[in-house]
Amino acid sequence: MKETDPTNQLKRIKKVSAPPFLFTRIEAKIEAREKNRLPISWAFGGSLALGILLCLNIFLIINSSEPNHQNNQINSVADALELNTSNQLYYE
Amino acid sequence: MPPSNQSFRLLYEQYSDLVFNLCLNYLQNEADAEEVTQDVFLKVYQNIDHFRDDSSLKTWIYRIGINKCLDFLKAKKRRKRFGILLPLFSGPTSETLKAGSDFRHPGIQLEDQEALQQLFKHINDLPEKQKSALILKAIDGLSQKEIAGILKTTEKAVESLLSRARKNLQKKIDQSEGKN
Repeated sequence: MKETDPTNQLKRIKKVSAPPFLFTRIEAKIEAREKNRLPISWAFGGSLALGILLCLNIFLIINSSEPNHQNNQINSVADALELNTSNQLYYE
Repeated sequence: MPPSNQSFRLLYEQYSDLVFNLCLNYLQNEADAEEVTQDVFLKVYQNIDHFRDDSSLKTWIYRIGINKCLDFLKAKKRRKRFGILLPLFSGPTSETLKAGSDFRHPGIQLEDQEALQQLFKHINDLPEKQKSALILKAIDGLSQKEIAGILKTTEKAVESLLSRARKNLQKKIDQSEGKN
């Protein structure tokens, strides 16, 4: 006779025990992960170094956008001596 | 903080058979089930701090097991999709892929092997939630309340999932018998 509920067949599946070696493998995996994990002090040191580098870059970018004082002083001296500061050699 | 070796061993002894059988029923391959069981306990070890008392430990472990099985099946599908290209780059891996996809369930007796392999073929074609509900109910014998807790849904929704799963399964069986 045909079974009405197709899932009835699934009741014939027996429970099995997990293989005995599985726990040792899990322990080995855990150990391997722990070994590969970066120490907190290293991670902290790395991020601190990156932070300093970033701050230094920002500082340099901000400073380079300010007008150059040394060039201004040279220009004022050239003006006082009535020197030509342009690259044009011939006047029309 | 991860659990101590002693407490983790106790936890493993209590739930290893449950997880291994769940993986077996989900993946229908002994080697795959062993691999996923390891991943489940690794996840349990790493995330035991995140376990909250609003669900039981058994429910939480079941949930991790189902998610790991689904992830494994998705990864397997992805590998199969690129299976044609695999031998070009790495020869031996394609063989291990084939070996892992055989139907090998130690809980099924030899005389039921063929019929249940056919049935599992149809179960594997069901939507994820229907498949999960069906396995948890028909094989693990869980109550609708327990299944609702694992699948994070209501008992009514589980009832509807199971009813649709049975209907779809019957339809697939009828179709395959009609073809033969």
